[in-house]
Amino acid sequence: MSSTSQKHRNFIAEPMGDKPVTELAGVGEVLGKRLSSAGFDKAYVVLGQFLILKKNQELFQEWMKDTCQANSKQSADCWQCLKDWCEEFL
Amino acid sequence: MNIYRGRSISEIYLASRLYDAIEDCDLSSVKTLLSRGADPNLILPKVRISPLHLIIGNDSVEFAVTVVTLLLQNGGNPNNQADDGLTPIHIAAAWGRYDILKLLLDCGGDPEIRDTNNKTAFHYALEEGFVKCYNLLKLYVADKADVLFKEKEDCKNYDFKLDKIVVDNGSTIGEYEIINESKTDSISKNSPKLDELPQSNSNEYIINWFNSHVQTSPTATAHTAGSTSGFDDTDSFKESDEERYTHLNNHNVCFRKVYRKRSPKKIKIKEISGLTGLDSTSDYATCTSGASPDALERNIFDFPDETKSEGVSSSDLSFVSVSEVYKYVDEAEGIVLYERRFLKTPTVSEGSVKSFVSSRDSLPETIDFEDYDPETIRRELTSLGYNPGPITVSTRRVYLKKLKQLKKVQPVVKTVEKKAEPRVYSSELEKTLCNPDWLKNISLYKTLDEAFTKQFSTPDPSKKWREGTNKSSFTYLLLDPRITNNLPFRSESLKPREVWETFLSSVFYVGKGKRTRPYDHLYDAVNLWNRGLRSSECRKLDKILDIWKDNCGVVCLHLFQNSIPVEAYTREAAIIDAINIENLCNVNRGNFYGVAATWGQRDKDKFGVFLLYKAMVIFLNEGERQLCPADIN
Repeated sequence: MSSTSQKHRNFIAEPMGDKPVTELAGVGEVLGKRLSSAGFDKAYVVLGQFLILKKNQELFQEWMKDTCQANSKQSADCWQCLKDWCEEFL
Repeated sequence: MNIYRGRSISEIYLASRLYDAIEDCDLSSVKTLLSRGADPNLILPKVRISPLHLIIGNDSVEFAVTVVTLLLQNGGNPNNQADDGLTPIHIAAAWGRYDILKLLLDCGGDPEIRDTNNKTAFHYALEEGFVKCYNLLKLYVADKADVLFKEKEDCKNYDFKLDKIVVDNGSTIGEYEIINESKTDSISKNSPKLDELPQSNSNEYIINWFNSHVQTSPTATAHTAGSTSGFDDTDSFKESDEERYTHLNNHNVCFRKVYRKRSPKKIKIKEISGLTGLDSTSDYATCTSGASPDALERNIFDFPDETKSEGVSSSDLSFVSVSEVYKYVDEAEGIVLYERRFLKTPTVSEGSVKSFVSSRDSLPETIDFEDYDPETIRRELTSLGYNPGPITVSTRRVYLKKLKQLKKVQPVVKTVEKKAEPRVYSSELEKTLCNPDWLKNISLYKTLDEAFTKQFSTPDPSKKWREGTNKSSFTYLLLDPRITNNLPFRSESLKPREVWETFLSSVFYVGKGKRTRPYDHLYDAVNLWNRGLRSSECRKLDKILDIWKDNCGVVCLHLFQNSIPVEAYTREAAIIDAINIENLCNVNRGNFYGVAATWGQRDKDKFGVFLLYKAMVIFLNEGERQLCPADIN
């Protein structure tokens, strides 16, 4: 298993509060913009989607791809980030 | 120091003590002496017989059977002739000891050896009026004529070759046909030889394919890049297939892809030659004979590495199914069968398994799915065994895709699950299902297997085995594809226990076959099928016809090749016992030979469990092979 990015570690270090969606690992400026325009402007909205898909990686990645054309690495990073966050704070 | 028939004094001492122990009915001494290496075959001075000869006529039949079993396990030879030419077989026949006689015959005893009075075991059985024994002896002689007959025709009398390769990436099915001419530069670009395709509807099929792909819709073009990677890996598959084929027939073989989705406008055909350096854009390739089997193996099994080096992400491959279709022709019997081999997709690393579906997003959605409302989606997903979360505006698309994927992977699973009733296996097999850690004790099973195979690896010429000692037999299992559902492909996403369970429940027949006619066991079914019959009195045939009726092919798993007939028979019997005959379509339980005949039921079952496990491993590695007659897709 590869080590996680700094962004990932930062995100799972604290409650997400009102963090923008771009704080999520795997979501940069471009994906952030696409997500915001689809209504997912905050990290907690994406968390909602993550939860509604029952934390299922396959479905979540599929959804990311659909919504913001994320590639599989980006969506996997984002999924991992939310999963780890949930383990910590949910 | 040799004092008697080349034996040392200590050998004779041990054997005489064994003889005495038998005379005294002292079981524990017999065991100790055997473990110290006493030879049960040694013809002792004075008495002029061996310990094995002595035990057969023991007053207590029960004791006699136990000791004969022990002696046979420790090298006892049923064909050992005493000074008057009598073998243990003669004695067992003369005494009418049926169980012992059977044991001896199963361990390679020859009923036709003559003693110094020129008498065989038959004479003694008749003289003493033991009809049961006489009939038993006859069973083991009848096989001899069998052997002579069978060994005569020990040449290949069938033709087996690669017919085409089918690639299915979910939205498109591509077929690759084989052209049997060498170096065909003259293939005109846009006229595939349709008549070489066995499918009667291939014309139609290609037209459909063209209609759906020549139209350059924006999605299709955008998708081209994505699907390319999927097809690239088929190129490497193709290469290995060619090698295999060439290896078999020593001919130049050319493949031609009939259609593919690379370019939306036309099919381009390009030729390259040689075995290595296959350009990933090649539509067409030839290769010359003499490819080593090693190269072939490497090509198939190292496949994941190859894709990695090509930089293809494994999630792109996971939905591409590649199958080869082989044509099997037995002209003498007028049988034509098609074998469809589903090549196992490369092992996908753990991380990407979950993104199984991700690469399919650009596939155009089928219209009928678009109309599904959340309730229908939920109902269908649930019926396929998937438990969806809330289906909302934002999750609907995702679940639709999941549904499509599930429907593709398991189109028939529903019907089977309905009628599946729990099978009860032998206790040994049940234990493995209750205890997932049973594999840790696999060495226990291995010793049984080793003991068994050792005696047949170099068959003792003095022993007589049913159907001879030609190493051309194998054991086979017939599996129901509606239950396996391409198990090798699914196995990565299932728990080991589930795989084991599915495998066990799919087995419906166990048999023994010969290399000369590997699909002999399907001939009856093919004949019935060709006569238009769709059901039969025989349970096995009925099951096969039933599978074909559902447009599937019977999965035929050939195991333990190059064994001698009795070896294959024994394996067959062990597997039948382990699964329990009630769960199979077999009529007879099968017979154990050699050392296995002396085992207790528990060991026999254990041996069967081990064989089944090996069979499953082979199945998972080989991929599924479905057999069906010509008119089934």
